[in-house]
Amino acid sequence: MLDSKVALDVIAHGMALGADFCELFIENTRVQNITVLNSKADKVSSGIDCGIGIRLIYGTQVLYGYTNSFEREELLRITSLIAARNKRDKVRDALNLNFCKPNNIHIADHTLLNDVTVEEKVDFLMKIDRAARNRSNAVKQVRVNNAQWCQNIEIFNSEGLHAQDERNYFRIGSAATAEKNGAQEDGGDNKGCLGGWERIRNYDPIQWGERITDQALTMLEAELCPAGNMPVIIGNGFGGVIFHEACGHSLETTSVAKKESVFADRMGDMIASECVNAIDDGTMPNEWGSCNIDDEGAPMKRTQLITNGKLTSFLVDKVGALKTGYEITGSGRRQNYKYAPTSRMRNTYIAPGKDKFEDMIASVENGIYAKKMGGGSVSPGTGEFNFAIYEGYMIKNGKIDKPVKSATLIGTGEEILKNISMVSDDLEHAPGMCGSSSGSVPTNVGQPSLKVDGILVGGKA
Amino acid sequence: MKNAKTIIKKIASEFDGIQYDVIATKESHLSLSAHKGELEKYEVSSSNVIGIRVIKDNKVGISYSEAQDEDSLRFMVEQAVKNANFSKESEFEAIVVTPDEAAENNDCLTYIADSTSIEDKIALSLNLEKKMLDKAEDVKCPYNGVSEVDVERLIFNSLGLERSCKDKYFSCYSSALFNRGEKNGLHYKVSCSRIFDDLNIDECIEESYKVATDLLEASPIKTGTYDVIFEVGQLEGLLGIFTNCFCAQEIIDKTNPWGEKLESKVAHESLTIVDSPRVEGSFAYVSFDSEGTVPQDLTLIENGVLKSFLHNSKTSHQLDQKNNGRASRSEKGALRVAGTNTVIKAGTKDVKQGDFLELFSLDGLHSGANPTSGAFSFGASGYLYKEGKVIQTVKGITISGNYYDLIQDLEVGNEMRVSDAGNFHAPDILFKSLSVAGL
Repeated sequence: MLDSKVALDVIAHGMALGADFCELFIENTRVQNITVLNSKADKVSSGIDCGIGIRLIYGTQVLYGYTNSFEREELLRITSLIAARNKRDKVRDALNLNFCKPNNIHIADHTLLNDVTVEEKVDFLMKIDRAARNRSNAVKQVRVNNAQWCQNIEIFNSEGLHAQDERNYFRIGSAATAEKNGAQEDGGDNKGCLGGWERIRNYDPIQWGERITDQALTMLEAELCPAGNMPVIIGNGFGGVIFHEACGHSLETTSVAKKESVFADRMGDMIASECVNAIDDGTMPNEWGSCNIDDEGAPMKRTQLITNGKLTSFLVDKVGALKTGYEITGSGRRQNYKYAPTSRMRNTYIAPGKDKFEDMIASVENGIYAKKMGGGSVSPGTGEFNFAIYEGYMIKNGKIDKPVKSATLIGTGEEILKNISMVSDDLEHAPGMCGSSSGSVPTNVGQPSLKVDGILVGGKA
Repeated sequence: MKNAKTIIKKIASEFDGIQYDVIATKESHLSLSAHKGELEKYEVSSSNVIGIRVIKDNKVGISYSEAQDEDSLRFMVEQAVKNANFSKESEFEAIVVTPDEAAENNDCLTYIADSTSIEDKIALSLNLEKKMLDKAEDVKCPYNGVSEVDVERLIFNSLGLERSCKDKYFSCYSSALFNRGEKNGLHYKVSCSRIFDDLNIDECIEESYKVATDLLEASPIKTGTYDVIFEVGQLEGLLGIFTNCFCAQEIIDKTNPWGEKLESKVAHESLTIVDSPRVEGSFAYVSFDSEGTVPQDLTLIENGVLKSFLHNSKTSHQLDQKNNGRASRSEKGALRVAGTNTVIKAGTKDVKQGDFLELFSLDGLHSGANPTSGAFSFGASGYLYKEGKVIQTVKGITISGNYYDLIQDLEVGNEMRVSDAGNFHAPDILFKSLSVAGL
């Protein structure tokens, strides 16, 4: 995308200004969005995002700039601008470029560049719409959206790296709104993968539409969740957001290196119950959080974060490695060229255990089954988290009882990890978007169903 | 941007029977942060994005480009026309704003030029962290920064409308973090201004330090119902989740619970909310909306009665109500509606005299609420008051309720507060009997 000679000139300029490291991240991303609303194709939009991010590192200090311009003079100007305060005599030369196109393990046939027809996509979205509406007359509205994008990246750096990659994504979001006696509730689901449109065959649009309607109807019947500290069974799949927020963010070297994570200096410590094994794996074929290389050009890896409750690895990007000495784990990620990369999660999950879901439910006298979690957030400095329950049920005397709504779970990461007493065998992964200092990136969360012996549940007092 | 405008007009003229409007934005950013006395982050940027909305045979197509060369702009226009072919017909969406309609307000009232040197901006960033770290041996300042944003916006359409504005903002923020054994405390404070020298780093430091210190001794309160006052920034966040009930587009989409409630009582009679586009000092000062219409003050709720919805040209046409210039469209997105600045009218009573919970932090605003049903549940921190005096710092609790019930039972205070960005003005409001989960 960028002439190698121009890239070499910019890198040479950065090194001449005394930088220890200089990197160019070039991006050209084509995007298409289709929205079905009121049972018709409501909006079709498309566009191109393109630009170049320039990163200089002096010691462990990061200087970053970006521009939409691909002109040599503008790139040199930005480089001079960001180095203005730090420039010094040259300390090292850039190495010769060594081109590498990684082996693509995330096969995509029907990509945006191959021009999958809009009609074909609208047809699939309309099947979800019809199935949702046919399920119940209470459904007042259905909104289904498809986003497909193709991100082409090219990375040059002063250590001789010259890498290219193409990433093809698609994502479908859906929401059904049902109404009863003037009250409205939503049901929704999102799916996405790193792959071409051909992977739509993995999803049944009829079941999909019926599922989101059933969820909206269930929530119409839900009572306010009771408040208090109680055992919670967290459902599989998107329930993994609990680990993502309660623990995952605090294992990123972005906060660990500054000793601003509650898990800094805890390597090798027992930070979770012995039944907990946690993994962050960027190599899973076609999974939402995977890539061939990270956004610094490092190969993807599978990282065992927690082994039988013991902390065994952090998520390490280049700057994190410089600051902590830990080996890079291929975790340097960014939303686009407008962000400097930082350490981020990819496909994060708790490994399956041997317990059965039915036994977990049976073990609870009075508690909550959080079948589907909403989003959440965490403060890595204190480990304090919050999660919303999207679809929840009371558990009474070992059986799933009435649906409940308006519930939030709060606590601290280590507290909840140590309170996990049962891990089932029903691991599932679910796609989400994770926002942090380097923007919003596709991230899988995942887990089998878990039993946590006590969490503060917010609800009706 | 002027060059891009000329190119787009020329390309668009090659297509028969299309209407269009274009939004072009040019931004530059400076972002600084410090760590242990060194500048940890130094980011500069310049970026452009242009988006076109094409209407052809009553069908809408949208496309955008970050590249500004003629080939990219031609591809953008062609894609928008192509996308329109796949959309449903809409007899209500059209390009309607003419040059005459917008002529009365064609300036940039808010832009203030700045001559501060980069060295002074860096010095402020370093000083922001240093002043915090000097306050105590064990205080950390993990999140801090100074930023500057310059933005220019141009709107033009096929009817000859052309509107432009530019603005510049500065902001800084500081955090204080304590980890003392099992006890933790973390708090942030932001300061925003259009004038660099008006950034108030001392206020950022003092407030974040004080609250973080208080949180070290914080504990949950007993589960029960409490009267609650939200700090103005938290109130802005909470009300912001439920702005769908003012949006005319949500009526059309059948997801507005107040769709049939115009001129009906929807809130307590002491509540009056005005959407005010030109609030002095606000970062959300709006001279014209995304279609180029000039908005005026709009009363949304008056004495508890719903008076207006937010409209653009399409929603007003479809619902046969007046367009009040609340069109909202990003360069990359579809035409929607949005409010500008929110002003809640003050009452006459001091509501901070009794027993109540004042919340300065709500956690999970992005995930713990359902705008359709009104249900919400958030983690929270704050102060417990008895007879108007603070008796306990509180954390490790959740609050839950329903927004549409919440605004029925309240008392409006007499002292106005303003959010950090100057776009939300409200008195203290005492909300009655919220469910709190704690001990």
